[in-house]
Amino acid sequence: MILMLLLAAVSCSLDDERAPTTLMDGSAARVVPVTLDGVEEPTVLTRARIVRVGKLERGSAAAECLGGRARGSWVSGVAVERMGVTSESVTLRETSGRALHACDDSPGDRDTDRRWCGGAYGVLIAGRLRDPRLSILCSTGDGTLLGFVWIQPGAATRYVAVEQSGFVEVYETAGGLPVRVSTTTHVDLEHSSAAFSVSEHDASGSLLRTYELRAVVAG
Amino acid sequence: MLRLRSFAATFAAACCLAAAGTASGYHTRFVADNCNYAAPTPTSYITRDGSTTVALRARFEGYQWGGGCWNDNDRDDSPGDPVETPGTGGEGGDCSGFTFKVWRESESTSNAGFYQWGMFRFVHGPYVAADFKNGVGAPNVTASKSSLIRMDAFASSGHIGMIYAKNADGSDQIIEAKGEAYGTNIWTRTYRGSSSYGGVRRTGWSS
Repeated sequence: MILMLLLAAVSCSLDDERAPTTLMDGSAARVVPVTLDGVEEPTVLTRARIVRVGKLERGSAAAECLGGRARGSWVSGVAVERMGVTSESVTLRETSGRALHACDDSPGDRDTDRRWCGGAYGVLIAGRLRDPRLSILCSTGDGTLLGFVWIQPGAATRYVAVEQSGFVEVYETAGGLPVRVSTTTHVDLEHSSAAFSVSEHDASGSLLRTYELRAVVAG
Repeated sequence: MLRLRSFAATFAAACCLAAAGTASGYHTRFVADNCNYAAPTPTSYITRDGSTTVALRARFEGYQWGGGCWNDNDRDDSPGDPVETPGTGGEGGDCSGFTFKVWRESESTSNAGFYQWGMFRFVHGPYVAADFKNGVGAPNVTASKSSLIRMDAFASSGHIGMIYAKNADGSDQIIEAKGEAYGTNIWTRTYRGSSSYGGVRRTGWSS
């Protein structure tokens, strides 16, 4: 009897420490292929797909982000489609190189039947964002607010790890574009703000830097 | 913060980054000394005249990225804010925060009700200009530019301004929080004829 109770306790503990095994679209989450130095919590590797704007598949996330807007003229190059545990995003860069656009999505409710619950527009100055362009319009299936921002990774960064509730969500850099990440922790509706606990790692998993990014809705 | 294992060779700088900006040396105390987080006052109706009055209180009061709050003394009490830097605590709203307050919206995107925010109440709201342009949120709907009237707005991906009045030649006087170098004021603008701008209207005006 005591053994059974102990086994049950261990099992519950293991369950608590397991990271989610599926992404928002129901696909299996992959394991991060390297050990991320300094990250103790369970990790989930999100999915990133690089697509060429000039050759978008009908029905793809990037195509749906662009919607009815003319393609190939005001945006070009690559788009990065990302799928996380409770988030999905697309990032594109304007042909002029002066701005980024994002479409954000999550499982939660929205006021109308929109494909995307949020998004962002960010002006690039000398190729970089001045502001991470926080959006707090999206929510998870249980109504928890999601915050989305762009992270501008360092040159050597391969993995961007963002703390979530009980696990760490890991994003691979892709397409030379800032990384659109999300969090459900520390999203503050009253102050239109959010805080992201972030670490950046190189391809071998070595820790490059760790920081807290605080962002507000602005612009 | 992420729990860290002890590490030997890798140098990790733990730092607290505000939103990207170059304002390390600039900070004012306008928000800290004057503004609050008081609850808004629900109201059963709003009028375009009433919102015009709300908007005019912000005229000449400056601009703050991610702001804000103001005091209606017809002066920017924190001039020279660095561009796109929210932590500097200066006076004024940005374009979307100004519109949110003038349109007396709720912080909840599913709520189309009416809420009176005090001048000194520091609030931005959940919407940026692009969200207004796309009619995101219960109180915001897209509208044809030809149908827009006073206190409706023109919005692009990066900016929003509200119609204040019409000039004799038919052009629009726009009241807007334009930027750090310009503050909040009324200017004649050609947003109506610009393909970058769409029309957006706050729902529920009584008059």
